Amino acid sequence: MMRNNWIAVVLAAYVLGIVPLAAASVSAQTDDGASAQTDASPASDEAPQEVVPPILKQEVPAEYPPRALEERITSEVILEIDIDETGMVEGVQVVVPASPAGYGFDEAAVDAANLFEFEPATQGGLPIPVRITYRTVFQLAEKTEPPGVTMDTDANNDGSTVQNAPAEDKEVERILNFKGTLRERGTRLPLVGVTVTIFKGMGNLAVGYEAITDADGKFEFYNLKPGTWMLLSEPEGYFPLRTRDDVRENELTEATYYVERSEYNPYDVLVEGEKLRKEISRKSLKTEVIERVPGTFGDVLTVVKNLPGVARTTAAAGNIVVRGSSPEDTQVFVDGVEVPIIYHFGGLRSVIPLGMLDGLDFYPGNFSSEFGRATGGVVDVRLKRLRPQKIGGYVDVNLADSGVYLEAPIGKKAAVAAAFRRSYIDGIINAVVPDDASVNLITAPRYYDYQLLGNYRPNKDNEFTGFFFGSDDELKLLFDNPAEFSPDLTATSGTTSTSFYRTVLEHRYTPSSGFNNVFKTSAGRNKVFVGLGDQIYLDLNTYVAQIYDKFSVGISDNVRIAAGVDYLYSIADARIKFPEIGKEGEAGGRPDLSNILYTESTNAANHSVGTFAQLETRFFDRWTIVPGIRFDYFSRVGQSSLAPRLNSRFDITRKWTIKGGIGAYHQEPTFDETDKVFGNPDLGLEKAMHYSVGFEYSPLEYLTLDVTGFYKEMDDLVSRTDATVAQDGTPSPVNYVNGGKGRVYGLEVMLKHEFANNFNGWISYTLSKAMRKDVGDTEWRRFDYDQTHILTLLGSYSLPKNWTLGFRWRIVTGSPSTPRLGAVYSVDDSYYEPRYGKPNSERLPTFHQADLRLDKRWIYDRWILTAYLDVQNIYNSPNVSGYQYNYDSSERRPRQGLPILPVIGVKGEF
Amino acid sequence: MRRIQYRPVFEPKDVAWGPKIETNDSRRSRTVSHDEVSQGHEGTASAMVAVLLVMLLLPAIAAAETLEKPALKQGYYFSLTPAFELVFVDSKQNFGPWPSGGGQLRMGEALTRWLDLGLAGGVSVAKGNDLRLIHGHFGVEATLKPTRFWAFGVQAGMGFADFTRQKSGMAEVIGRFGATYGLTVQYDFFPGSRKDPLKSGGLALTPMAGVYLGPADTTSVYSIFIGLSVSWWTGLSKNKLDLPLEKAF
Repeated sequence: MMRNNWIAVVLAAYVLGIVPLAAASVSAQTDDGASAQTDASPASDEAPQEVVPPILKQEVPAEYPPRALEERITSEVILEIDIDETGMVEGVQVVVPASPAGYGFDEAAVDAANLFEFEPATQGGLPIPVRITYRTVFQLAEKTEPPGVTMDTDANNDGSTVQNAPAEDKEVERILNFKGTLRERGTRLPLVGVTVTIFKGMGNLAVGYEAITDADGKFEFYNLKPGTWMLLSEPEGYFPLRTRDDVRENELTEATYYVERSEYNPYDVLVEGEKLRKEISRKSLKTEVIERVPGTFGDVLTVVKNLPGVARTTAAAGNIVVRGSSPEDTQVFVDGVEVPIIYHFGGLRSVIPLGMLDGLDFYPGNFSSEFGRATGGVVDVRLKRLRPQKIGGYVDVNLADSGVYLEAPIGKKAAVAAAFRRSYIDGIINAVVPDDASVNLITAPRYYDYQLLGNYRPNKDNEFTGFFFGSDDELKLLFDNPAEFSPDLTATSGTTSTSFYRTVLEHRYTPSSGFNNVFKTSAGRNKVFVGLGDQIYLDLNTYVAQIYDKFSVGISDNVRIAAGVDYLYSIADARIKFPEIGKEGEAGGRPDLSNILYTESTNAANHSVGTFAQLETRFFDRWTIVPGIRFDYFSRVGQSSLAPRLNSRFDITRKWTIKGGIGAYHQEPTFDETDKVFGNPDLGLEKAMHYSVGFEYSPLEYLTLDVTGFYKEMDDLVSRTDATVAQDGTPSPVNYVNGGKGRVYGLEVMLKHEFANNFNGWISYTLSKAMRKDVGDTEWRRFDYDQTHILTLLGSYSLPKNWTLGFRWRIVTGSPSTPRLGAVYSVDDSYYEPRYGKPNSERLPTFHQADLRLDKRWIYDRWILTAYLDVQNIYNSPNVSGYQYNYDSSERRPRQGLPILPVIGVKGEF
Repeated sequence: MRRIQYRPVFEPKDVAWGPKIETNDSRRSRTVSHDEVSQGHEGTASAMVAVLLVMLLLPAIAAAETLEKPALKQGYYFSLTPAFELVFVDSKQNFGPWPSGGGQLRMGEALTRWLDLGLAGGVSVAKGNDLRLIHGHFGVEATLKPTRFWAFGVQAGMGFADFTRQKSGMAEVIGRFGATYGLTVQYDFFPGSRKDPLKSGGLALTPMAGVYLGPADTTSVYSIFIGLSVSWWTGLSKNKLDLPLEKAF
């Protein structure tokens, strides 16, 4: 029994702030409002990296100075604690000493802090040294009843905690009779450093005790008297835990409690430092932010189509048209590895699931010398660096497909994740299409993809990543009466399939903030088949390998050099039996099946090597200049290119930035354009010059206005020609020459509201004009996707009770189209051959559409269920996607696009 | 490693929550701020006059309080509404009014004291001019509750209308599909539930009236309806309610 009415001290400690010991130049805001600064050195080109504060895993309470205890003096001491990358305390300094001085408070606080142990702070998953501010409060509390119990905050749960009650207490035997674990409801993550109160009785008769959860969320109470106790915990941001538990004589009561957050908001995990902006037009999107954009079916990559500079394509098109460039002019990378396709059939789903992604960077132009082989834009998909704290994942089921994602830690240094998804559109369509339809679907559009990702970090300097992924799309049709489609068609079946796989191995070496090196190698296969029986087909089978290395060296605080090499090798087998392949700017129509060409090649090897270097400089802490140069060699056309590029940004004030860039870009023609039968093997590289100038204005921390004017000039574009050359005495068509020209200019505006006040979204507007001039033409014509105005309003509100409301509204100038002026009857073919007007000389009506998405999350103890309703075209706008002509092209009627379309899905996370 | 530990005795009366206790205790400060937020919402709600304002005020809606005072319309609701309708058809010629009978199913959740969100679907059958019409809708429903008992519902979604005409002994069916919108006004009764101020959820009887605009393609269907909705509100669990100490555990 304790005799002293005073049991000493409340020792309250607060982590007030965290500052990495390394150079800090970019601020971020942590979840709890504490200021955190990341080590974003000027030349760092890593993705924005999350700073995770250190976690106090072993707290050593300070000893209350005896004289102060005797005189009932209270005080507090503010300390600064330096913590190294292993979590050990390197040094402790008193920032604000105790008052009154002379009682030994400072010394007691410093002595205790020197014995602390932390889970080290991390940035981008790598442990970093930090300095935290820490407050130690010495406070007396009056005891109302001799408790005979102790409050245990033993962080290690190793029994080492000694009750520092007066000596009289030590005669009481410590009996553990209540232990529990506090976890977050739904995610099962432990709640660390949370006060748990247990009490019984009310008012003046009440008695109660506190404990604080350790790093595993565990807490313990000793020597509780038998009876019913009330347990209370009120972590900030959570609904309170209020429950009753019985404590029995000589029994240990043990329980796990799941505490529900007041809001399960995917956005509030975003604590990141923005990396140094070097690019002019980069748009970065985080997976969490864009998951709930309407009309995207939760697919992060589909959101790219809502960014400025990207033209609207038809609903089923899985391509990206950037700043008036053809789809094949834009490269898509998955963590730097080129992939042949990024969307499955229909363009609704990307081939990488959400769980694997960290986000993406989109460059509509003026991308750095690191990227090459493209004259349009670049989409760089960033894979997630796995840091799971538990085995977890999700199952996602919707009307189109189902997917599963699993991730798990392997020890403290490694983690692995796997995912698989398959569509069942085939089953739905087969059920819907009537038996007497003229087309039977053997395999209606079906796709699947698979991924296996592993991370291993043996130490803070090295990180190894392995990634295996692939995708397979297929559609098979049977025609009962092929002549219905074309009098020349005799094939009774059609097939189209695209598949690929890649294995990627990567090593990141970061011995210091001044140097880093990324080496990666990948290998895999692309397979494409399109055919109508044996009548026409395109069969490509390509093995590809890629080696990439990039290093970055900091010369000084303001100068950094980055350079690398990028080697791509492919060997292909091809068999092509096809009519003439239509090109951009050419009116569609019936393919001429009476004139089928054939070509084949075996083990056709090609390679392309690129090297790049860029100097990243920053002057006066506000002017960034990044000159770079890239050299490429393309074996298929036997040409090399040298592409100088320059980007610059100048921060006028903290809120205003002006920017500009200029650069040269090159790419090969497509494979069919250089084929000896279908194209011209003597073709050379296509070229483009990008010019951009603009400004950014950030009136608020979460609001950014980005205005960029651009001009793009394209030369040596592949263009069809009627010319012939004599081969073996007979005229042979040249097919294509590098004589086409293109020019695109416009203005891109993006007003982006980062997640704040429960809202995130953006307004995107593009004003542009994209023109082409083909060989032999004297006049410029509209590009196929020349859309003068593209306006997108898009946003998500986080509503109470875990609801999210998303909306999107788009209005876009109608795409150009080529009118039919009538038809001429062909007696031989018994067919009206259409006569076309000038290419792209008219436009479809203006497109406008609103989409709405509602998400609702239900939180269960061990998992979270999300259901969503995504309604596309909610006011059923009758948008015209083209025209359907009658037999002699004398009449036409509009072909309408997507009607109102609701899609329901559910997702379970655990 | 030397480890010492002090912990105080904790007095439960100091952690009691509720608006009546004046204190500087940091635990309780959250309760106090909750009350302030609640009052703010009531003020905002009274200013709501139009549906469009919902979008403008959504950020304010989202600033929800952690704990709520017990109320009858709390938690999830499940509602069945038999209804009588008068249907007007606007096609190449106008028809109606046709008497119609049908019903609605609604389910959702009370997001705040003055806003519910959920899904609603319904179907009804009408006859007239030798035609039989089956029309229905499914979509999102937002219900604004400016007062405790009055509410206004806004629905948007997709709908269908199937016309069947008996012609020469053959049934000719014409179908329409498209966007559908609805507006309703409701008044809630809570039989036997008003006596307990700490009760959350319960049974509600709700007379309602409204209008619907059906698929607006070449054929539009308008309907005016009255119905009686029977709803069950699940209420909130104790840990989400602002309750006095003796009721909170």
